[in-house]
Amino acid sequence: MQKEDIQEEKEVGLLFLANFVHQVVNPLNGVIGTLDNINDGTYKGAIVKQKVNACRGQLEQCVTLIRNLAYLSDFFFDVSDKEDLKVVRENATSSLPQVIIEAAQFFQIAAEKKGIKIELLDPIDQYKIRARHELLKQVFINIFDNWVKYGLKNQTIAVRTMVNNKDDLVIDIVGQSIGFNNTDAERLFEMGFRSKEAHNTVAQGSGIGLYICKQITTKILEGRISAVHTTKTGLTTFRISIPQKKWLL
Amino acid sequence: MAPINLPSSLHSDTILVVDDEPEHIEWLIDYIEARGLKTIVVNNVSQAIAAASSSQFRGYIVDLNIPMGDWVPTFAIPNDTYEKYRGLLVIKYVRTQGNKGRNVIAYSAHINDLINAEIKVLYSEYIAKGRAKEFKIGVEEMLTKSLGAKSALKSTKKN
Repeated sequence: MQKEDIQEEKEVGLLFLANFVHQVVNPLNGVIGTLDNINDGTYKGAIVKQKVNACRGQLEQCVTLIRNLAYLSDFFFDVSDKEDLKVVRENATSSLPQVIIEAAQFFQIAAEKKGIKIELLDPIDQYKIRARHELLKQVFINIFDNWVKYGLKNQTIAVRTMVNNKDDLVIDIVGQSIGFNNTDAERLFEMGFRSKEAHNTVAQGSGIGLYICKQITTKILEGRISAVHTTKTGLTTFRISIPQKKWLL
Repeated sequence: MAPINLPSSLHSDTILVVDDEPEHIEWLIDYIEARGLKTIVVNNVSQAIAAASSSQFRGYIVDLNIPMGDWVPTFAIPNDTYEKYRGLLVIKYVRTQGNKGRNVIAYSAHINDLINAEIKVLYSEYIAKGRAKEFKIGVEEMLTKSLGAKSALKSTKKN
């Protein structure tokens, strides 16, 4: 590796760490402040329960971020040649509706604050995915997290499942967002990349969530993930395609 | 456009809070409002400068890591630190308007020498995130001391 490349990689790593610290410190700061308000009596009576619930939401946001870091190392489990690990992962299946509903519930409080609802349009068909539950859930958690941050207020995010003519299971997540330039669509899934529009809305983000989504979708599910924004309608669509060998009904 | 616009109205009972993720500082807003003051929350440099250009506030609490919005600089940006910590642009703006340094508080996730140096130049206050008690002590003067005739800008005294 060239000296300049090493330097650039180091700088990207440092920037990522600085962003990551910021992303974790902010919700923790919210929790500390809320607890202090309960402690000094600023919050009293019925509102205390509501504020404790909000704290839970903020801590869960921290957990999401930290879990993303853990998932980077967790790939060891899913790509390892160790025979005992292969057996576990090859037999793993997860229920797609359950995964999507659990991931949506994870953001219920934060989404409600923005008037956002996440709705699985077909909760009846019990598609099974040949991947570990937690791994698949992280994909949807990261996509929904983006929507809570960059989605427009007061809307329903629709999660639609269908099978295309190649027998791929296609999952579309569709809703209104601040948008992005479609020339950046591929780069959204690169480690550390944040669109200009994202920068203009929230100064810092880890730039790790969609990267993880791509890693899991391509390496574990052997599928594809893409994003497209239509300026005219304001609609953004994230599409995940899973090949037939990786799902069953 | 003039580099700095002077406000024409005075909100002596209101604190301008600038943060792009206000859901994480709800506790601070609740704390200030429980002490009998009002708050206005804006999310980027552009909105903050627009608010400060039309009104003088009792105090300004500014997150240093905020997006620019659509603000086009109307004064020379002093150095790279302002590019990285854009909240400093808001602080420079309100300090140049003539707002007292003790009524302008900067905060961020972490402090470093670059921030320290600029905060000193701007003669404003700084508090690190994650220290609620320090934050409350830091804003205490702003909450308990009225703005006073000497702190009101000339442009707002006319009204």
